[in-house]
Amino acid sequence: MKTKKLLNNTTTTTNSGEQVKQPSISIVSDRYNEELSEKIEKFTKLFQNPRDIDVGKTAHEIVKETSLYRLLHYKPIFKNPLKTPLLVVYALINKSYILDLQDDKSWVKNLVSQGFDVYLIDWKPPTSNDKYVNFDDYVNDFIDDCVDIIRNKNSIEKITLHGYCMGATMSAMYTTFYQHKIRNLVTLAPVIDSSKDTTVIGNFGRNMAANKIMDSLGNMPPQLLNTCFSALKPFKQGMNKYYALLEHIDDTKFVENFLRVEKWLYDIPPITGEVFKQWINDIYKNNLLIKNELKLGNKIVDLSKIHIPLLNIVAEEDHLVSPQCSTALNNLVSSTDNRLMKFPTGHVGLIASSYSQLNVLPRVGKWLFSRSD
Amino acid sequence: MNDIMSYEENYAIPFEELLKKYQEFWKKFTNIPKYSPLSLMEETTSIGKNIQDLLIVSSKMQYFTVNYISQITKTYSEALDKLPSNAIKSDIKSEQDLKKYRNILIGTLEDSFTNLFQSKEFGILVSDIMSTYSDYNKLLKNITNTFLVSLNLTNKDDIDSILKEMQELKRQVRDIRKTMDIIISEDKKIVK
Repeated sequence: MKTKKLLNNTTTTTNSGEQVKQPSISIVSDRYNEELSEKIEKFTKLFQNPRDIDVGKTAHEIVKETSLYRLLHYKPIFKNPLKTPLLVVYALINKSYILDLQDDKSWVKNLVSQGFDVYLIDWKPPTSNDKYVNFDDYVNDFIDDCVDIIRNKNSIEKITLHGYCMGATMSAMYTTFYQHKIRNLVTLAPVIDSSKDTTVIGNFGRNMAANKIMDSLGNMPPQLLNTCFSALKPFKQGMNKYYALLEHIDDTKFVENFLRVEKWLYDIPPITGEVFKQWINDIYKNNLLIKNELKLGNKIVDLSKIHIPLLNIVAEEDHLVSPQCSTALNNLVSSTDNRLMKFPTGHVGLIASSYSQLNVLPRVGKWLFSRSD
Repeated sequence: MNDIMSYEENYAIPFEELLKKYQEFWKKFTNIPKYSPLSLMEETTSIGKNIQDLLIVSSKMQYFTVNYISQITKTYSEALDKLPSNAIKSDIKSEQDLKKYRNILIGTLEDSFTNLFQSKEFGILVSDIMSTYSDYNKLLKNITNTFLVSLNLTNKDDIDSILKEMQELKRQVRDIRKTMDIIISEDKKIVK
């Protein structure tokens, strides 16, 4: 077997003046070099000729569509699904198809297969004309509209409200006002107590002059949002993922999953100016939610008014929303049926991974099953 | 003129003070009498003032951007300093060693940069950059608005005020609709 020396021994001087020897690759086989070259070629071709990748394939119909949202109803696979329908409220960041990324990692498909009657609010990108749409509109108008449509369609008084991330925060806000329409509240990684948030996003949010920025830009543009999110794990999830892709370039399943996640990561809609201002000022800077001082319209959000069953699901390795920021919800509500589930995974892994399918969803389904008859 | 200083004298002054001196100097040319025919030139002088502010904001953007870049390069150097000595001393003899070294390098860079991004000072710096960019944007908008007004064309501020009123009206309609729904459902209960 032939060997080659790829790098010579070199030394560098660090800031502290220390002479440090750089490692050298002394023995590498020709076979490794050939394999690496082939992989690099495939890697380059993948990005030069990207193919269209399908997402959100679970069968559904559009129940209602407006300029800012669509209400989707996933086709039940059982003739008689569970009596209490479930409305999933996604966040206003990125797109909702992360909850239905692919067949074997679809949150909504799994819930449908467990017998639930699942609906989802798919938020549409706002335009510059929507810059004055605020949380009051999202919670008291759009979510309420969807809840009423489902109640009327299913001839039922109460539904299960199930939110993810910012959608979970909005779901909690909604429940304080419209508890008579909600049977159960399920929250995934909600943003509740920002004083306990130690993430980079929390740091940027607490120091941001949101009013000034939004008055100038109108809506929060995708490019600026991407800049903020790029600062989260820039090496482990930024650079390293491309190394991992290179290593697994021959694994079709891996590549397709990678492309789906990659598509979602950069499919960022803008956020309306008023929503962004309130999100940063009221939630991150002033932490009004836990102080019972957050206002939607002329109504105060008082989480202690929630007394319906609550299931709060938190990711222990969440780098977008600190677990402690989310678990605060369990201490604020008045529910006697009040459960916290923690899982050793990340923010997106909580809903779109094999781990989620095998560990999170069965337990969520079990909790919901007994409260959905 | 007493205001002219040498390059060395200028360099020694803090940035904010320098901007203040610059503004005070040019203020003499942009202040116009209130009660005179010159007051009709307000549009022209406001464009002049906006352009002057644009130069100041551009300087600020440059200052904060340079600061940002220096923080990033400093953190990168510090991260390389922190690389465990055993990762550097041993030669890479196999693919596994290469992978191990790569993981150590990425982990070290990740830790250093996460510490930087989580620091309050960096959070404030990012906010300063975004604020300055917003100021720049706003000044460009002000200049464009002035031209649009003089051409008797609708500007963004006019459109924004209409959009704001429309959204308020939508909310009022929503509230009226909800109140009517409650009244109708209560009426139905009474009829039953």
